This record gives sequence, C-alpha cells and structure tokens, in this order.
Amino acid sequence: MSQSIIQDIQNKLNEKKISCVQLVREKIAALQSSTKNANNLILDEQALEQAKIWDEKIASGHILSGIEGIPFGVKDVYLLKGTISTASSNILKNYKSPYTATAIQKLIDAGAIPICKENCDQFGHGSTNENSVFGVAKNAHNDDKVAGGSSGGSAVNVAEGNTVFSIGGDTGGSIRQPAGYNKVYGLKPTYGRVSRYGLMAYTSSSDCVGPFANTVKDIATTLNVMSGKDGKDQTTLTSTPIDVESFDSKIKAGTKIGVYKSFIDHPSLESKIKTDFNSLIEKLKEKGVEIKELDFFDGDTLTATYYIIALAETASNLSRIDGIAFGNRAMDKENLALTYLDTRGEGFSQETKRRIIAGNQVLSVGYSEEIYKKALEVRKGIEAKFAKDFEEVDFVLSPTSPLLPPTIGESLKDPLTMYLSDMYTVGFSLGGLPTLSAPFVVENNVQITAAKEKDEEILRFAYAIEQSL
Amino acid sequence: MDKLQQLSNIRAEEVNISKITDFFETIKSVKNINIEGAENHIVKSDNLREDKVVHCNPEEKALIMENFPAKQGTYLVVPKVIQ
Repeated sequence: MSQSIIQDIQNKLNEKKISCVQLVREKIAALQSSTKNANNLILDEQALEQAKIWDEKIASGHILSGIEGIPFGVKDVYLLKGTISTASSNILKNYKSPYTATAIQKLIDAGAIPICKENCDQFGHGSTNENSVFGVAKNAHNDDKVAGGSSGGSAVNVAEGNTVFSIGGDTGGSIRQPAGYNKVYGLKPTYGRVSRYGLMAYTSSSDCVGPFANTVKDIATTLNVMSGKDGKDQTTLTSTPIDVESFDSKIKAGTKIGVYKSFIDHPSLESKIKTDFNSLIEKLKEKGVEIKELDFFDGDTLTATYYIIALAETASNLSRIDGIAFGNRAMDKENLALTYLDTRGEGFSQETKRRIIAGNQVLSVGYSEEIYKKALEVRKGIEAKFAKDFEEVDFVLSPTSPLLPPTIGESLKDPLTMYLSDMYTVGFSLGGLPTLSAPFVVENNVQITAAKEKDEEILRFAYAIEQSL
Repeated sequence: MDKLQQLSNIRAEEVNISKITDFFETIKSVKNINIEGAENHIVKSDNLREDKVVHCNPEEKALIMENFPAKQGTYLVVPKVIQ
C-alpha cells in the first residue's frame, strides 16, 4: 500500500511522467462523469489555469513538495472567493463568496488546487447527505446507500480517487461518519487547531475543519498546512507541525487503549460492527497493546446533550441569513416580518427549519434554564470525564457509527434514528478532542481519540496500525 | 401562526419538532454530574484581537454588492420597515 498518494503524484509530476494539466483534466473528467452526485460545482477553468502555472514551474526546474500541484475538493460550506458557496441550500443558491476561508487559503497558498465544491447536508444539518437542495450524494461503494453526512460528497470524492484529498467540516461527526461509510480516512482535529474563519457556522463551539484522504501521511500533511493561530478566529491554538517523515511503522508495545463499555454494549450496535471491532482489539493485543475497559456516559445522553447545544447554536448562527443583505429574498411582501418569514420559509429545507425552530425553543424562557443550561452542565461533566480517562490511557478506540449505511430515503422517514446514529461521534465533539476515523478492520471505520492537542500522537499510532495490520 | 415559527422568523407549517423534544426529557433525567477537572475549551478572554476597523478591498466590496438581493440603480433596496 502507498504511504502517501500526494507523494506518489508529485513524484510522477517531478519526473514529467504526467503534466499537472493532464492530472487536473483527468480529475475533472472523473468528477464530471461520476454518477454519485458528490459535487455542487466543478472549478474546471480556475483549476486548469493553476495547473498550467505549476507545469511552467516544473519545466523551469522547480521540484514539487508539500502539497504543490495537488488537486483537492472543498465542502460547499467554505467560502472560496468569487465562487458560488451554497451550503447546499436554496437560500444561498446564488451566493458568491467575497473572500476565502483561512484553511482553504492556506492550502492554496501552499500550492494545492481546488477543483470542486462538494455536496453536503444543508448547513451541516444531517448525517446522510439527503438534506441537500442538490439531491443525495450516493455511497462510493453502493449506489443504493447514502454517502453519510454531512460531508458526504467530500468522502465520496476521496473514496473514488476523484480528489486527492478533500476538506470537510465536522461538528458532531460530519467527517468521521462519512469517512466510515466510504472507507477512507477522516480527521476531526482538536477544536481550535484549524481556523473556522470562512466556514459557515453551524455549532460554533464544536465546528472543526478537517481533511479526508486515503493515507495517514496525507492526512498529516494537509493538517500541517491548515493548522495554526488565526487573528480572525479567536478560538484558534498555536500548534507544532507534525514530523511526518519520522512516523514509525511499528506499533509501540505497552500503548494503553481505552474502550467504552457503554458504546460496545449499546443495543443499537450492529453485530457485524461489534464483531469487527472486537477482532481489531484482539489484533492490537497481539501487538502488545494494553486494553482497559472504561465507563462512560450512555449514547442517548451524549446525543441529547449534543443536539440541544447544537440546535441552540444553529438557531443563533443562522438568524443572520435572512435575505436582507445577501441570499435569495422573497420579494414584494407587505412588511419586514413577512419578508423574513417567507424568505427563510422558502430558503431553508424542512430539516434545517426543524433545527432552527427547536433551537429557538431550547433558548426560550422556561427552557433555557431547564434544558440548555443543563446540557452545558452535562457537557462539562463529559469534558471532566475525558480529562480523567486520558490520565489512564493513551487512546480511546470506538466504532464510528452503530449502524451500517442506511438505504437512501430510510432516514428521511425517521430523523430520530438518524440523530441517534451520531452517538459515538458527538461525545468527542463536545470534548473538543482530536479523533481520526480510520478504515482498519471495522466496517464503517474505527475512531481513534486522544487528549486535546494530541493530534500527532493519534496519527503516529494510526500510521503504525496502517503499516502493520 | 405558531409562536416558535414567529420567534424563528420562519414560515414552516409542515415542520414537526416533537422527535427532537424527546431529547429534553433525556437531559432532564441526567443526575450526579461531576464537573471536577473540566476546562472551558472555547475562548480565553486574554486572546482578543485589536479593536479596529479593517476595510475590505474593492474586489471584495464588489462581490458583497453583487450579493445584495435587490437594487435600483445605485440604491440598495430593503423591505419597508416603518408602516
């Protein structure tokens, strides 16, 4: 197996076995002919212009490194200057980005080439990619199944090889779960490691920017480029670059792994996933890894806590989208109140409206004390439990989702099941912890979580598993 | 119209939030929360940026204007606020 697709492609470009224009043309042709509905917009002209520039540099003796000349995809919730950024919604269907998100700009400045804006659930509201005005993105491995969500299009593009890497957004599992459904790597970094500036906000207290890729090293390389403090996002952290070249392919004996009993014993967990997970644990034990069972909050409490906070924050964040200064406005209404009602009534999907309305209920008199503040208190309890657990173990391993990818249409009939399918991902989001979704042994991937700011440790451990299992 | 729809500025007769409100009962039933060792990971108050106006460049300004939903000549048209 290749250690780095990015490196393999750059070797071919440097050796002039393929030109950057050829590479980008091939990727664009693949995106255009894909039947998965993974893209809202293909940036063919701009991408080919950039590719030409890289070919000229290579011809004049430049040797590509880092992520130079590499085509990538962008979830359609990031602003990319001059391009339409819709968040897969009607209300922003014609919205043109006035600036570029910090994370995407850093990738462009480092030489990568954005080639598409990827389909997703509207404003990140969903776990199946069915809540999109562009229609559902189909699973990379089965046309009848959903791609997962909300970053479904990004996961599908990487799984099909149509982008070398893609940038998704993860609020409660929106990178990790579609990575699992499409069997690729997806990283939710430590909250604050990557700037959120230019990402359309869903739940500001847990929104994270992260990459999808086909190898651990490619995840680390792209994370390095995007990381760092940003004056435009007050929550960003200073971080040390990950030394990708020093990754060791051997699993360190004595590594301590925690497993949450409440996750593995949950009645919703599919037996195939449980069997695979236990098999992975056995394989790691054979490599000298120590396993410790840990108690944790049950999945229902985690899901309720996450959704109550997420609903409240999204009601607040999306209140700015009203068709007055931007967005599709319902015209010729009698007064301002009716303009708002119809603009937002026509512009948002049913699922997005459900979340905004429920969020306003959470924040209203009578509910804010009893429900919202209680959820914040439980979140603190979850953070405290994580702090304690990571004094005892190096990593926590868990399944990414209790369910196999649903058939298209199933989740629309039963949104509660869709919400509960996030039970293994949302806790780590509430804690702001780094978590990698990795295609190791387990159907739908396994999550590897560590304490805050231990992103590098996760990737080192994952690389060792990738190379030795 | 439903008060929550008014509060949300959304016309949404077809939307049912009863499934979500099931979460309220779950959160109410959580007991004995131990918060010892928890830290706020969101914002540190000593990390504020300088409070000064930063103007956008002409290209950004043009894009912002292009996004405005209604215009008449050089005027930006907004809904009537005072009846």
